[in-house]
Amino acid sequence: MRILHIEDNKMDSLLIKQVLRGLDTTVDYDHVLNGQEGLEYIKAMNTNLDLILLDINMPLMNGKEFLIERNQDRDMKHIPVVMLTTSENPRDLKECSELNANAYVIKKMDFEQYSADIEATVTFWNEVHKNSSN
Amino acid sequence: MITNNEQILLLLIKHTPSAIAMFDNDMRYIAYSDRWLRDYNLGDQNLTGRSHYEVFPDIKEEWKADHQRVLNGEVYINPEDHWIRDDGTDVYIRYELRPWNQNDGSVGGIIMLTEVITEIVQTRKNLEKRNDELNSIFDAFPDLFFRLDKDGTYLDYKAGLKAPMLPPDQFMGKKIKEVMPPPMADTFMSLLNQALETKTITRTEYSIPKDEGIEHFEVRFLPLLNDEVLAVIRDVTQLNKQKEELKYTLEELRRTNLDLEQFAYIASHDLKEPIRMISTFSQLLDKQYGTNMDSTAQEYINTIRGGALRMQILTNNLLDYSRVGRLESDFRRIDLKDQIEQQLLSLALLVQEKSAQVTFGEFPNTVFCEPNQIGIVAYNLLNNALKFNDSNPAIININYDESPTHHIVSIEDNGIGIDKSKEEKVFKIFQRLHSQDEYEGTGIGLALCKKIIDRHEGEISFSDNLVKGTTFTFTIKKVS
Repeated sequence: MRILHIEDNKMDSLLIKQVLRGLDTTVDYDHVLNGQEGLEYIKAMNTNLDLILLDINMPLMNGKEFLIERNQDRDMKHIPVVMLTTSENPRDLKECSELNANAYVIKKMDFEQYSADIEATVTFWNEVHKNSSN
Repeated sequence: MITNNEQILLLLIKHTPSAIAMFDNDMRYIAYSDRWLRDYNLGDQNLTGRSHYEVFPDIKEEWKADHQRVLNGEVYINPEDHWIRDDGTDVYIRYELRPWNQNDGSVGGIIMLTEVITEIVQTRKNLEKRNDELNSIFDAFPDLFFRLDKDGTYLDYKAGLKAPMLPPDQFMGKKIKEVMPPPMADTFMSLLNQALETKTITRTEYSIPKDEGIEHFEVRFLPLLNDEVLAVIRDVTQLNKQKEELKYTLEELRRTNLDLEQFAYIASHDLKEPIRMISTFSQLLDKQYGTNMDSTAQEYINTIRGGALRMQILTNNLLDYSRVGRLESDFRRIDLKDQIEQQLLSLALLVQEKSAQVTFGEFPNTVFCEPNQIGIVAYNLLNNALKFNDSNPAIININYDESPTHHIVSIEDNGIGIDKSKEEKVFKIFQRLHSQDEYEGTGIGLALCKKIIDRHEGEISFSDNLVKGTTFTFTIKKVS
């Protein structure tokens, strides 16, 4: 399974790696710092992406702008996107849902909870990925 | 014949409908009218042959002199004379004194034609007094007054503190059209006519550039009688300036408030991420290296996590607070009691911990409000009623009342109460009345409640209960 994490906070990437290390499945994990880098990464890539973890507030191109780009791109719009953000603002949730984000996960303060949420998310999309590949 | 003539004369005098009396050379009554008796309060006594000065012992000396002059042939007319009687009453009379001649041409006596005009004079004096009062009120106005006729001719004026253009006396006898620039004159004439036609006051404002800057005046046209108009001109330069300043200050205040909310929003939002990092990584540190650390190091890590947790609660509350002003309105008809009960459900743990007994009074079927926002108010008030409560059991009574304009909800507890001297502080943001060790909190809850109730055009307040505890009351404006 291949995951791209679009997030401007490098420490968050550290955390995700920590969580993924504890999983049974092997995950190819890459991290870029904003939406713009995300688009460039996907375009330069020759293999398929199974999941994008997307932050909202980022410099250059934020998560919502990335969603708009992704929706307009034939090669990208089938890639599942899970929002991973600190924002609990209902407006953010509504807007992301309207922009066809597949899920919205709020980063928990408690590491155990945070870890559990990421684990559940990755496991779920891994199952989806396995079923669609079969 | 003569005897007959005299009798006719006496009869004529007796019945003349004015106060008339005829005297001989010694001022003794020869004849008098019934009206004379009545006007001078003489009853029905017989005056014939009696001296005038005996009948009126309080007669003025100067009148006696007048009588003598008339007995010498003069005619004396006085349109108004004042007579203070011995009993103190004021009498005003108008009279004519004429001599009458005997057959031989010599003066035989006086005929007095008098009229008591006390009432007329007193009415006039009252009017004059009222007029003086009105004039002094009039003079106290700083305004300039012009009286104009229906064609816009200036009739007279009362000068004000300030003249808009020329000194007012230079307008007299001229017409508006002759002294005002055309567009202004047209406006004034149409307002003047409108005031006369509609019998209402019409007004406008105009500006005049002067050396000291532009001055603003207000003119009002008041319809008077006789197709005349009173123009009242007031200098409103200062007033307009203050209005402008007030408007500007209000705008600035509103902007500052928005800036502040925006700041609170951004600050609290952007703070979340670093706080989460502190919290999460101190947790990871504990998890992965905890076994290698001594108890002091452990304690430090716990302190870091505790601080991060508290900062998280603070930023979340601050976010809630800053959001209230930014929310789109979401007013709906809801079951208010149901909404409050839901909040109690999310406080179930605390309710259980305090063995709380909660009762509801009668509530109306629906109330028009923002459900989530009112939910936050109820949550905070209930949370406080439970949290600041050391009674066992904690008792909370939730009641509804209404005024013609507002829904009134009260939440009564038997908790620790609030010191009256802290009243000012209670609804201010970040104000806490207790140390963190005693009661946890961020000092945002009631400030948030106040902001939400402001949005509902209501009020929030609290009062001490007679025995123990506090009653918080909030109101929600009704919609028709």
